[in-house]
Amino acid sequence: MNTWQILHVPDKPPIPPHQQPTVNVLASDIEPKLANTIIRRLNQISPLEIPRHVKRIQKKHVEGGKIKLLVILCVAGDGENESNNIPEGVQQLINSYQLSPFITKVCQYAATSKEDWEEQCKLWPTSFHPPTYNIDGIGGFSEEDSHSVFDFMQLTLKMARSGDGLIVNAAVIVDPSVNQVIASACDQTCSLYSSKAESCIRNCTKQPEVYGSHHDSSVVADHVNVSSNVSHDEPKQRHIGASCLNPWQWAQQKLQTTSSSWHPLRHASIVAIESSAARDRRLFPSLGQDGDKSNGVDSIQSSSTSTTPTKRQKTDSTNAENGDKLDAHTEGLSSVSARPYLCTGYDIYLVWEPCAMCAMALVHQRIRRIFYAFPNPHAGALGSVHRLQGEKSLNHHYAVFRVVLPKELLDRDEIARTSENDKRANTGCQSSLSVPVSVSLSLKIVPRLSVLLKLFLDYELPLHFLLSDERCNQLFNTKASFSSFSIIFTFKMEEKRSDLGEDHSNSQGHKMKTPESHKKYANRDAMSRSDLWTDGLICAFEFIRGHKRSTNSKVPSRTSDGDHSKMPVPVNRLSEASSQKLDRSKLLDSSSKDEFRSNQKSPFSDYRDSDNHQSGHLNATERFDGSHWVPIGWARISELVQTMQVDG
Amino acid sequence: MASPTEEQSPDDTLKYMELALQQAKLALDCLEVPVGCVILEGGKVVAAGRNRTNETRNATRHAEMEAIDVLLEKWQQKDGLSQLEVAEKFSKCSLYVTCEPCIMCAAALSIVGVQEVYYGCTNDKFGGCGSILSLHSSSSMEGGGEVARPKGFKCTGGIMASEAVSLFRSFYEQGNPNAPKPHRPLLVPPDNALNNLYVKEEQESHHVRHFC
Repeated sequence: MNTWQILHVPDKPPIPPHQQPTVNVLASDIEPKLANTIIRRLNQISPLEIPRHVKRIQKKHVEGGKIKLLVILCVAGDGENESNNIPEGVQQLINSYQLSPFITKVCQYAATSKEDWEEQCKLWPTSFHPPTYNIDGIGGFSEEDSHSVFDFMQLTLKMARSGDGLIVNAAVIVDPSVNQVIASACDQTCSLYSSKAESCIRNCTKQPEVYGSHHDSSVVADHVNVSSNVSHDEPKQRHIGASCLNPWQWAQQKLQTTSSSWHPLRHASIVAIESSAARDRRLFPSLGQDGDKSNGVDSIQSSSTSTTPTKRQKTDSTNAENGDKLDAHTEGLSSVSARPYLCTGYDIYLVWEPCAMCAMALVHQRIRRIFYAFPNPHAGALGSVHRLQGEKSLNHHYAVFRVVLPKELLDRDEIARTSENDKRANTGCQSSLSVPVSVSLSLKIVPRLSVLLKLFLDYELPLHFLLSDERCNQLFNTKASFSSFSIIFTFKMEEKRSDLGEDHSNSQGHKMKTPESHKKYANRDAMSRSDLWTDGLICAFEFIRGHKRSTNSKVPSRTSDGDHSKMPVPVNRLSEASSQKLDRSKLLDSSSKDEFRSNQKSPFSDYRDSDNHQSGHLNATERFDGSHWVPIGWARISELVQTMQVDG
Repeated sequence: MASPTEEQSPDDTLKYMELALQQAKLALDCLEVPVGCVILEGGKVVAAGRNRTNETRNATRHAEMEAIDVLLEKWQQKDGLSQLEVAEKFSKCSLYVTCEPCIMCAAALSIVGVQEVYYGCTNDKFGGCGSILSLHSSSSMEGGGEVARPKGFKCTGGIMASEAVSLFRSFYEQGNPNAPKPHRPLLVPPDNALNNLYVKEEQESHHVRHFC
């Protein structure tokens, strides 16, 4: 899949044409000349029982040019005992015309596509009315429209990746009529995403005593000692994944921040809606409900005093100016009457299919179209678990599209998603993808590793954090006997290097070097295979040994970071994956297994002094006490690269 | 739907629903769709909320979301509780709301993990506690091994439903002729749309069963 694609996600789950549900009906041959009479009588007896799309009569050409008519008499019960279920009137009809009824099947639901319909007619003729949607795009996108869809999706993906390596869901609300971004947001279920994170963290460090109740004292001490730049990076490494993927996870995160900004319901869509509502109030403050803070009494009063339009406009203009938005001012005045109702006519772009809460919020806010890049197999409400776009009772319906990314982009995110869900087979994702290969690395191959790290840092390849704690556990489980410390990477390797992606990523202005550049770099540094590291570093973890922590006051961020994602150490998953392409990853994989046995009394000394990293071999079981893996981010990796004193 | 729990006397249930109805009346007074709720923790009302969708122009600002936000702010900012502690507190809360939580709110209640929900009339259009989806029953979603399991909550409907319905009716009747917006008729339709939406709901809710 080397190109962008926009797939409509229909209202109903797609059913293979030949597996459409059917119902039994009682039918009979009739004399053609009796057709009118019988139909008339049938209409009196059971006019509405038969599904409307099913034709009552079917004409069959039999041998000799004769025409045979088959008519549906009534719906038959499930049981084979037909005579019991036949309504009295129908039975009379059968008797009086001496019909010989038989049970046959018709399709229960009207066809939604021509293919379905053709299949249906093999059973019994039905009528087919192609859907008459009034939402643009369901019937296909023009090239121009497609491009703007791709551009906005690209923007959304970029937002999700910002925040150095952390992957969250992102939402961008767009007015497609003018291709203007109305609002955008990332998940804010955790304080760590927003630009406000820094200040929140500062607040935290000022109140170390709060940590005391949750952490052991050494952690508190460590935290207080954190240097400012480290502490800024720390939160970004803590949270894993997009809110909608697992909305219930918030409570399990043992994030001990006291920062005030986490909120289990502030998923990207919700925040974006809030932001668009704020924009609405700012741009069109003319409805007598100015300001977020007006309480009920106020709005009653301002409404009931019903100021004249001129007076109101005057107020509006001052409000708008106060709101430091000049465009708001002019726009507000010029197009008051054009004020949109909520998000009517707007599109929203999401990285992941939204959960039920977000999907319903988008119904409430009257979003017109939803574009998402990745399905959300456990909690998605637009086709994966629920399908809100197909809930007829809702008062608003949007059209839903999945934007399939071109291979070049997809590889990275696909891996990310796969890592998270481990459900490739079930998600209906592109099976044509090359299989991601996991490679474990340890600091034994420090020179090579550092080169690798540098490579990723230099080219700003994405670092994904999508693994739940549980998943980390799983990943590392079988490595338990030899994994000691450090970083584990999962790389994307690709068999065939396609250059198709290159142009695309450039033309889209994506901030990424072409694969060609890596190759050169890799070759220059004598990487094992020039085409090995084609894409994405998925995750990096550090192994933290609990009982040794306090001896390392210089790396406090790690320890405190670790506490929330504490997990007993581990079991293999990684090696399974590795074996899939062992031949290619041989060099690294084999070395890694050996090297993982290396260990120190303190994992952190490894980072400080690469020469020492093999000095100790602790008993495997012993070192697991209180130990755990901690996802780390770019900042930490950079740090590690620095401390390893790259000589590449 | 289950009947009210033993430890909760019917009188109490009515008392709390009455408080929720008061919130709904507040909403009505503010020309909002009249839905209100209160949240109880250990027999004490700890939060109240009512619809603010028109005021905020944010159609997600339902009573339940408002009340949840009140608690989050309180527990987080004032009390400095951690996620774990907040989750623990939510798991001991019950919510009384005049109308069956919509799909969004039901999902939100499941996410924060409240213990139980009592509601008035059913919400035939968007109800997330049995009418359209059943998000309160945890089995409604597949739970993978790596994913925190969706949380269900106990749900009891039909409490003082007729009062809730009559509020919807008042909302509709006070509706547009009396709505103090005569100078901006062109701007009214959005609110009309909301009205109509709930009117339909109201009409269909006449047959709500009464448990109390």
